[in-house]
Amino acid sequence: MYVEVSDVKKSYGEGGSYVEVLKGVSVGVEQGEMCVIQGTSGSGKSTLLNCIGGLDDIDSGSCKIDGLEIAGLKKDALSDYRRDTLGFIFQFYNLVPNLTVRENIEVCRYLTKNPLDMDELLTTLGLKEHADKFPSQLSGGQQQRTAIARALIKNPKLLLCDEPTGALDSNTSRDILVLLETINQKYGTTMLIVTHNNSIKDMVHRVIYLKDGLISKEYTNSKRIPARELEDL
Amino acid sequence: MQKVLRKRTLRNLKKHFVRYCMLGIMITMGIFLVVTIVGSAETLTRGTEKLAEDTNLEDGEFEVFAPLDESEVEEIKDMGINVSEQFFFDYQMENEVDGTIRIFKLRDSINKIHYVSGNEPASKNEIVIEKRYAYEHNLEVGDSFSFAGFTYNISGIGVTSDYDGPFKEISDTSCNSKYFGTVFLNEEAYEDFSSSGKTQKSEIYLYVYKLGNDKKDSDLKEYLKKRNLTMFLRRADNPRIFATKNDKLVDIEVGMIAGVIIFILLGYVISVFVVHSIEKESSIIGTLYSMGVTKKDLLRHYVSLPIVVTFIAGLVGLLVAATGLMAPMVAESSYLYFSIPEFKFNVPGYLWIYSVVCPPVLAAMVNVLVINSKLNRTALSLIRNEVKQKNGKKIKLKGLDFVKTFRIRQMLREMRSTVAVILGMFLALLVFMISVDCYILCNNIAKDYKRDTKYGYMYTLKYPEETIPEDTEVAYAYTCKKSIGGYKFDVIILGIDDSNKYFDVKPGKSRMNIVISSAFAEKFGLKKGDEFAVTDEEKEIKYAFSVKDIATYATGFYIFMDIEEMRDMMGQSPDYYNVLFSDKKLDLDPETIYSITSRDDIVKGAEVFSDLMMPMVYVLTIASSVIFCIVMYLMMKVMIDRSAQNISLIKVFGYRRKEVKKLYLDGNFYVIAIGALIVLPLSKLIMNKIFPFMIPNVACGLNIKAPVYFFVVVYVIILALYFLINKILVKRLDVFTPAEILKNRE
Repeated sequence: MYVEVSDVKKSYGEGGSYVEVLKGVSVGVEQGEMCVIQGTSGSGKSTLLNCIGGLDDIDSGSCKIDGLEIAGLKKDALSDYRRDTLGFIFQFYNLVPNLTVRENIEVCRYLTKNPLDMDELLTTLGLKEHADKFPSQLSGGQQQRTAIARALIKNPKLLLCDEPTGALDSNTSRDILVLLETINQKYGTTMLIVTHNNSIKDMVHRVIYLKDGLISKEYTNSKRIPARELEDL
Repeated sequence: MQKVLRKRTLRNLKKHFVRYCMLGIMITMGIFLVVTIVGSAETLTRGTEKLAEDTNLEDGEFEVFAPLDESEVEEIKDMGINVSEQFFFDYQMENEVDGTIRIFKLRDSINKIHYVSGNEPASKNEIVIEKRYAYEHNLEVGDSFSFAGFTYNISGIGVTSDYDGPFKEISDTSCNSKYFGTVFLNEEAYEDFSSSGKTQKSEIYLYVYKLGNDKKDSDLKEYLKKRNLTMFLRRADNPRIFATKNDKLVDIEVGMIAGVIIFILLGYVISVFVVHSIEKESSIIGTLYSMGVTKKDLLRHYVSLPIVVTFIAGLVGLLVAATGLMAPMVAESSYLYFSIPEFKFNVPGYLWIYSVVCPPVLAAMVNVLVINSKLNRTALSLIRNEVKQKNGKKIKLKGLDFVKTFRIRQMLREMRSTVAVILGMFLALLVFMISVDCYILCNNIAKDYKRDTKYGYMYTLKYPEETIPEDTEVAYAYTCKKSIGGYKFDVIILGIDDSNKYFDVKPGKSRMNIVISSAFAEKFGLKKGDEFAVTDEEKEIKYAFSVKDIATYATGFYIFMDIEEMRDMMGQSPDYYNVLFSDKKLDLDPETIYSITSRDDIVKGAEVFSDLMMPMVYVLTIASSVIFCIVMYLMMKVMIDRSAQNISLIKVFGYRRKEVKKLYLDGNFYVIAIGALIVLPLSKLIMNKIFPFMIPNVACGLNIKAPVYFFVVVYVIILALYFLINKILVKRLDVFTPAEILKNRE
């Protein structure tokens, strides 16, 4: 398994405000797989993603990525893990507003010695003519494509996507998902996608349902539908 | 709504307590300094005015070659002018370090003595000593005081308003009470001394007057012209009178204006914080707009905290200052220089108003101006927190590496804070340059006076000796006046030979094209080729000259002219002179001597400036450093805080602390380095232009040139302070964890 999560528990708050968000989650994802994590609000899906991304500590359990135990890693080691292994895509893009598209991508290119080719990536993501524009001059879809390009430039082995289409309309959402699918096929990137969107599950290899901090259902998708054919996005 | 918002204001104050505390302390310090400095100046000004009234200060004075006879005095009195003799002798004390005393009779009508301790002499064996001279020589009431073989018991220590500034000569640049002071004897004791044969110089026939019957000074002068008038001085032209007040006027003006500038800067610093809050709370503001809250409501809300903080800080500063905590320290230099009694520190009414009104009003004005545009957006735009890149910030940066590009973008984004840092640095340096110019001027005066005074003694004579004493150089000195900045200064036309060994000047045979001293050129802004005029107030005529050359001579305002040309111009005989320069003391008939000035007098007089100015130099240097550090710290901190989301974002990507610092903190190095490179010489240049207006009453040249190494040292200190603050702020970068980015950003 490329991603091995075993009996992970995570809680927040104390006394009256104590909430146990993950109550012992165990998940495994193979290298090169696209995996969707679904669930209702408060089910713990974003928390699980953040724990895998090293953005949040876990209370107990184990979280191994490519054999590396990230639970208990120190700050610098966690930075190295994120730098060398991960790419992040957020719902609200999180672009640096005062940097152009190209410069936003440079933010992550700076971190790696072997980045992907910038121009090729810009062309692949349809951003070539927008490279010198600022985020405020772009549509939502263009901003999310920029965020994807930023995540991909360092050719990460694991891409963590938190509601990547949550702020986009249906057509733009489809474009983005087609893009993610292409990247998965082209670069063999493992992807964990947290989403509310029920249709996305049809395009991925694995589907995990979370409910009240526990995995309620988990299956491998044997009848994958290409992203361009997804409906009700 | 306002009630709810008011609660929030208090919560904001609590949340950002340290920040507002630092700003509050700066404002409190600012008001404290303004009230203490201006209040002390006002206390001294008003105190000396009251003293002048109580002691019946003269309206003017004049000297005559021989005393007026009774009928002349009567004629003056008939004009409605009260005239009184204030004859005196100058006596060089046996012990040279005791300097010269000026011996007067007691006064009973004009320029009466104000006793700071003791009483009027009851017998001819008693004496009154001027306060500053007494202080410098550790003399107290009851001590004995001896000169010329007479021994007196000190019955009183006092001051007189006509010697508020105890200058020995009217043309002196500074006073030094170690070497000069006035003493007062009763009539009998004065006559005893006068007839003792121990006088060293002739008696000076000085009269003082009070005008009445709508008479003017000019009426009296007109009358005296037909007599043997040698000097006529209106009160306004007498540098000894109201010397303290004239000195303090600058403190009042500079203190008030400096306060306003600093409060505007601090208002701007506060506005940066408020703008930061507004940007952070953009969606909340949008939501409130959509629910009907008006811009006016929010403007009032956001301005209320700066107003409250600045008002309280101002009030605290005022109340602390009003206790007079530091007033004695601020006024000390005046009490140690001028001859005045100690006055009780008092804060005038307008300073109370200034202190509680100025900081909040300026903060409100600056904040309303800055915040207004930020709140001038639609509810939807605010809810979406639309970030629009201003055109000025849409600069294309190509060919630069990523780090440089990022830093430039960051600087453009934080332009407001960058401007505040540069502005703060500029203002701090401007304040610092006041102390620098004071220091350099004092140092240069001490150095230049030593360098330029080549004679040992200068004797000013009533009339020439029959034979010129050996090893002396003769000269002809004539005092005229020239005004600048509302002050009238003595300018001496000095007729010398080309061969005069004490002056490195070749005046040449011309009455029109003359050489002037560098001090004169600096004070009056004269250059080679310029034409100017000086006024002979006794003859009421003007002499016009053209500057042929400027001689390096710092010790006074001199016009150097060939002695023969000058004799001819003034209608004197071909062998006339009234000044003798020599290396050593001369044995001259005391009756012929007006005054003696030694090289020591001049050099020591010059050194007084440094002693006098050093406390102010220290205060201003510390104040400017504090302003610089606090403004730089607060602005760099706000730059980081504003980038909290982006910092946590790049931490998510795997950036380490060192790399975050490189992007978000180290770029400021260039702002400071380049800013200081521009602002440092600029502030010196501007202060060089302003400085003369700050010391309009000081009779000396303005050699305030700073050596290059000074700029290098200050530049290095600025960078060192930057690195110090940078180091402190590095810890701030750790506050923003990667998890910060997970908070809803919309």
